[in-house]
Amino acid sequence: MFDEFNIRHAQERGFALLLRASLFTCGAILFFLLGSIVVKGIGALSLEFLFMPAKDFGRSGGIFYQIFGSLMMVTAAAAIVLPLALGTALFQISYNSRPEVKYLLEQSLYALNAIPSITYGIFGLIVFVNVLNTGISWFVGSIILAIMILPTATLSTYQAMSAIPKIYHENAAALGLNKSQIIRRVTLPQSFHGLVTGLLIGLARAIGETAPIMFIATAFSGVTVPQSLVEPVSTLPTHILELAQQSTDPQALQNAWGASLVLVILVAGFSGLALFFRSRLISAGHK
Amino acid sequence: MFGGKLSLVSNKPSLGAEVYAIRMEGFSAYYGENCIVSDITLNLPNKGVTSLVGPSGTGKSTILRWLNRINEETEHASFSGDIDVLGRDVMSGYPDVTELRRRVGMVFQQPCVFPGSIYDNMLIGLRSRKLSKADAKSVIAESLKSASLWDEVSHRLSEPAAALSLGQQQRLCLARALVLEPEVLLLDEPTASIDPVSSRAIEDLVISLGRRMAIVMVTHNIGQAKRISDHVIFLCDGKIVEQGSRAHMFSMCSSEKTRTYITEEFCDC
Repeated sequence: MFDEFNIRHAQERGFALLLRASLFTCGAILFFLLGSIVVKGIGALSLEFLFMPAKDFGRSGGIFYQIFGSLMMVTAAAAIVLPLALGTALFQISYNSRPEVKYLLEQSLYALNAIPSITYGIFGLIVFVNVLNTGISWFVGSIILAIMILPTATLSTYQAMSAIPKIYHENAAALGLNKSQIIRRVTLPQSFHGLVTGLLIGLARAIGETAPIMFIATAFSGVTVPQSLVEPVSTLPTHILELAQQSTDPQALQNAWGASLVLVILVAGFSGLALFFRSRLISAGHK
Repeated sequence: MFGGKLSLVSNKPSLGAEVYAIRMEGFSAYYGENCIVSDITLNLPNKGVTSLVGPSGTGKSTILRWLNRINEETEHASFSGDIDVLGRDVMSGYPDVTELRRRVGMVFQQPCVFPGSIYDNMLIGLRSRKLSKADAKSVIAESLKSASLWDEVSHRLSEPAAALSLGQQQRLCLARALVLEPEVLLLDEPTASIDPVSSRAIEDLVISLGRRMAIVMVTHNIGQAKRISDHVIFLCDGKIVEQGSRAHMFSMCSSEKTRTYITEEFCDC
């Protein structure tokens, strides 16, 4: 009896130790990664670095147009993806009455979510640049980023909508509300947090991507603010890639770390915003 | 058999005049292949409280949920037979289901308030009536008074409805249904999840509403059915065992099953 107790106690302690070790490993990797970027990149950060254009292929000057290009592309991607994600999720919840089609669409979204980002880049290159002859265009890049984050935003919205108890829909229907009124008054107020969260998490992923846009939307140097939809931009990830290729030059390497730190701050900013809006909108949706 | 889809083509005449609020003839309801209730025939007058009593899973709520076609929202739900509501066939007589649902209000077992203020909750169904702001305010106040809630919320209509107690929320649900001025009110165990004091307030309310409209209520509480019903229908195993006035059902019921259920709240069918 006593032995059995001791064995069970030891098992529990061993299990807890294993969990702590997992947590410590994850934390250590994150700490080491972020710590390296902060320690090596902080030296490059200055107002001049943030607000001046790059000079001498990035070896001097700043990263203003790269930050601008990245934000412009993800803003356009957000504008494209928002109505599409909302429409698809609403269709799944309110209009798709066939379970097999519902299942197929949901699984397709999960599958799309797992596609490597370079595949989107190749797709954009073939369809837009080669077939439609758009040339290198920041807007095409935004379309590709939108396609890439569409599954994340749609699934997050769909999951938030699915989580609304059926009783809300029934109560609204029992009050004589039709489908579109139920969507406006019940479904959207209680699921908007899902859309915003999915969108921001998608954007956090998109802003750090290089592969989907490097063939179709970006130029490595000499670009400023595009004057039309079919001009290239420079983005932070492509700029970091270019600087990393000149890593034998200490100044280029220092600027690569600095740009990486800015990129990490932007990604963390989107993730933080997602958490903030999620908690605010969830509590607003239930008040 | 009717499924979730509306059948608009029907030349079938109405079963009766509006002296009956609800008439059912040969009604059977199904979820997929499973028959939940079978061959139900009943006539419910256009005033008074009718209680559907019986053990769990016997199809009481299913009957209720077809009277305003809310079961159309449920996958694989269907029915056969005839249902007339307020003199019109429930399917072909109401091509716009929202008209049926505005005339036949419903309150569910769980209080369910929508996000927003108490006033927003009252307004949600009222928008279809296209009233002026002043008229809407007056109708809302009247409905809250009818639901015995006005004194408790009149000074805080802009506060979140979710902040109300469960009993108050259920009365808000009742007021929200009454604001549409329904001719029939369906109550699916409206006091099952609230405290005894709120429960008694709702019972009083149901009795007074029953004087001016038809109320069909599902309840497991035999004492409650005895206190507030004008008519009682006892269902068991998806069939009506016995129906009649309150006096008949509680004093001189003819079925042994009914007597056992009424006295012991137990049924072996």
